[in-house]
Amino acid sequence: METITLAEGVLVRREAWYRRFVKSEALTGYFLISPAVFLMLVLLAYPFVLAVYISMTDRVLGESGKFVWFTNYIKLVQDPIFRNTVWNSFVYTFATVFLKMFLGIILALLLNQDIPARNLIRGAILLPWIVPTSLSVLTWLWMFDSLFSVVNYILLGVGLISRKIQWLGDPTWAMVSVIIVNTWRGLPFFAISFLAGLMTIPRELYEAAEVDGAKRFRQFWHITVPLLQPVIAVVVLFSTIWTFADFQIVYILTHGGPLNATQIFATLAYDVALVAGRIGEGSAVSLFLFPALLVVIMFMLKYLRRE
Amino acid sequence: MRRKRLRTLQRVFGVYLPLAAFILFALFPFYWMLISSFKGNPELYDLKANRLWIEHPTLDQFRDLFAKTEIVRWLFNSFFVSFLTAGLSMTFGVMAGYALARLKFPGAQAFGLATFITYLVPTTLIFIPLARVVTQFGLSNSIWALVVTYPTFLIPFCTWMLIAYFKSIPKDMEECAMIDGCSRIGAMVRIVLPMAIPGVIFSAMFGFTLSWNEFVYALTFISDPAQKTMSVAVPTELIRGDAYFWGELMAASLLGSVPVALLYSFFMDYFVSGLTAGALKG
Amino acid sequence: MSAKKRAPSSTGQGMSRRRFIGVTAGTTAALSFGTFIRSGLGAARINILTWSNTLNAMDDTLREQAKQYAKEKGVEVVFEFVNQTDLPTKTAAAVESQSGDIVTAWSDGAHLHDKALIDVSDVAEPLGKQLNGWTNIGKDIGIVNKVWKAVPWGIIPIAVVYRTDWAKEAGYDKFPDTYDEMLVLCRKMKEKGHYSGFALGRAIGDANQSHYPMLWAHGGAECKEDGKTVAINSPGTAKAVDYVRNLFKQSEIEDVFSWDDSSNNRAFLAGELACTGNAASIYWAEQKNAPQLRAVTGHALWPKGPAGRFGYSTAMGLGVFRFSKYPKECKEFITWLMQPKQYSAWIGVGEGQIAGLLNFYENDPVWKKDPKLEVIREIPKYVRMPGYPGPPTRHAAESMVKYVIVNMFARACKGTSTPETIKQAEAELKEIYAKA
Repeated sequence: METITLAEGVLVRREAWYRRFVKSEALTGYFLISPAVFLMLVLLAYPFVLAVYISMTDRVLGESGKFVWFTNYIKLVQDPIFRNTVWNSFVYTFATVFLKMFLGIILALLLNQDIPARNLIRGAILLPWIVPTSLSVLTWLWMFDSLFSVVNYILLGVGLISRKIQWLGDPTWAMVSVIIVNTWRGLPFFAISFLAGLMTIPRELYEAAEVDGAKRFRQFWHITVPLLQPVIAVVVLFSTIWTFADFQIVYILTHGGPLNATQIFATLAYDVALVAGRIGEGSAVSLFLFPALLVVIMFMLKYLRRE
Repeated sequence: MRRKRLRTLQRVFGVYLPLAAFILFALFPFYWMLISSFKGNPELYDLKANRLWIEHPTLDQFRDLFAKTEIVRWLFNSFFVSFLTAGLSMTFGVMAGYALARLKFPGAQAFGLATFITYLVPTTLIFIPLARVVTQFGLSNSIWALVVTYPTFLIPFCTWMLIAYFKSIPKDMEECAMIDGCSRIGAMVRIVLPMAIPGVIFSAMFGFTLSWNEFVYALTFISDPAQKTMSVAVPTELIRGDAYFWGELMAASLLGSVPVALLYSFFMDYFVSGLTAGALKG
Repeated sequence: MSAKKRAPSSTGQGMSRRRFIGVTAGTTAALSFGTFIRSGLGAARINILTWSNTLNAMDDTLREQAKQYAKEKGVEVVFEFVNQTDLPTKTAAAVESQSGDIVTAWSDGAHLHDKALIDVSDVAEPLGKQLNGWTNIGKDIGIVNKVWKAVPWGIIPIAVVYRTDWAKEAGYDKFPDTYDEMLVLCRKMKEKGHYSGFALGRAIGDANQSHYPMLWAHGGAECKEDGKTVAINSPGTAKAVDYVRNLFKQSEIEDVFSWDDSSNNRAFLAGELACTGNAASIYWAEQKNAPQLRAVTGHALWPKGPAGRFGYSTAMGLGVFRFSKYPKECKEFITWLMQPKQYSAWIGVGEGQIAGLLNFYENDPVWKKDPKLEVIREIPKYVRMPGYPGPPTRHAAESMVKYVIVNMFARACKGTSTPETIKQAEAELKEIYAKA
């Protein structure tokens, strides 16, 4: 390129750009991210864009369908079953995230104490989170079985209840059941993450507070909570997103029933798209919250950057 | 003296008892899994039997499992896929994480943002378009389909957490090495990576766990029983028609849980310290 | 089996190389290369997507037959068995990724996926001629817009399963023939502490299979014959709702709301259930798990209502994907599979689990084996599909997976008034039927 007659200024600028390119290590950078970018483009971004496109068509399985803009989304808003699903999804998500956060902080504080067999206990606590959901939720299904429920067996045995609870058969209890199981599975991640956050808080802070005569609770409120806040924010954000998209727990335990009491986005999307074959509409169901979550995550990123 | 007793009491009620309650909550389903898998069918379905204990312990369920199914094969597949994907994601995650933490180049921010947004992609339906891509690559019905698709949801996490980890390592040492004539990548491999071991192990473990657990992709891309992984094989092969074979299901679940539990018990310290240093800094 | 099946087309060492090419030469190159590899395989290999039957032995028989077929005809046939609840996922993935050859069209499956299936009239019609013709339900599930899109493979006959000893105690030597009498029997058994139960929960099979017949028998239906006009709000439906509420209140166990397809089996085997609706799988499981109950377990047809006798059982058809590379081989295999030698062997192992949809198989030896199973062979005559009296459309399928009908009954049992619950079902149905 140097031989081409160009205005001097341009040539210089181009050279500078070239030099900057090499010096700024952009090449190395691109090289290092290229495998990740390639995989994510082909196997994540491309199918995702396709899914968004499908959600704007009236496509059924095996046919190509017409592009209908936002018709699917508009129809969903009018559908009573879908509106019920939105409500259930919010109840399910907020209840579990709140429980996991609340119990997670308590558990993390407990695990941060000097306790015997520390690693063993931490491992035990982590167990629900690390075993395959498809297997552990089956265990819960068996524990909630209408006839052989071991939970009822124990509660009846110790006299806490006088007749068996219809865990998966009563609309309210069914929601409680899926919330319990989701909490059971997600709590370890919260607790261990909070524990990791607690471990980064310097002990000197507490010692200084002790000298000043601050009580335990005040220490917790004025030292622990503010310093743990970023960790809490990140974990809560992720968990909220994951719970909104959660499929397996509800699918295996109640399949949305009874009386649609536990029907959430993912299970409804599954039934509509795969069993009834309306994949356009089903995709719209599962992408319904995407814009809202996107906004939340953007705000969150800003907040995290500032920290 | 009284003070000491009070302290003990406080500890029992303030720490040990609540902790015991949490442990009970976490472990009870596994206890139930364990005892169910050592019961014979007559006892399992006997309403009058003591459900919290095994009266006639038997290995029948395990024997049936090994005789009638390809469980060994499934376990092997799970290991194979999980190790490979964890390794792959970790490698690519280290590369991308380092680039984003240390190097300035146009598009870096956009890429960082993109990794964050990938969390919003719902896997329950994305498998429909993805199935087509996988088939076009000629990978359907092969565990290689899982080896290439799993990293897509693991790499963002690994990258994201390793960025923070790399940032926590002081720049001075690698700069010294580079002045001494070491290349950028040389410095990364020789100086930074050894210091980042806990973070790297953490991300590998995380990747291993998610791969071991994954269900939807494994269900849709794999058909051949000999190619299935544990998390899919157990529910698809042991629930037949309108019958759940609970004894065998529980035995298989147990076998599917033990390996990851062992893995974590070995690497627990790394897990917590990796999490401490990196993952949560955002 | 594992060692041999592992290696075909896409697995093994070639993979890493192919992916490498994909990385370097871009997606297009990799795509064409993948296709090239797959098409260059040579001998035909047919994949059949189907469900794992409750009876392991039935699946084993199919595997054996596939092996035998490979030996005779040189065409490799691979049965892929999945849990019935995962079948929709697998079918969707197969249709979308255009891979696979033969698919088990589940009840309305041929109607749902008809665009993805080829015309199999040249299999179904000769088979009909050869074996005394197809039953009506066979035609209903197989023919879409006057073209055979699936070869009816069989149904899983759902009967009333009940305890003969307790019925006798209540004064019935035979199971009653009308719904009103059935209510009396169930009430009497409950008075003695023996509950009945018909799933009202997430049992995609049992819940629908028990309650659609009750709806139809009382003259109710979700739509008109055109399959487009919602007609749930009718006196017949109201009668059915009242009946189900009475049945529940007077005789059923409360657990029914939480039941999945396996729950009533377990309850019956535990000796906790007097009457339920199920396939012959309970009777079969008793051999191993509750031999003492085998003598006192009876099967009966669903009773008659004011509008007649109806049943709904899951039916299966075999469809051939239009993207299969071996349509000819697929059709030949299906024809071979439906021949008496193979088919009788298969349903023989099933002991009443599967009934044939060719009239010829109504007299199959399997029905003579055990007098307790004899009544089952009549079931196909009364079976209709959701959407009746219209065709089994996509709308009917959607209303079934959304449990519109079952939930209508369940609400009534929980205390909602009859007009109120029908109104809600009507609103939901209208939403579904308004779609294209």
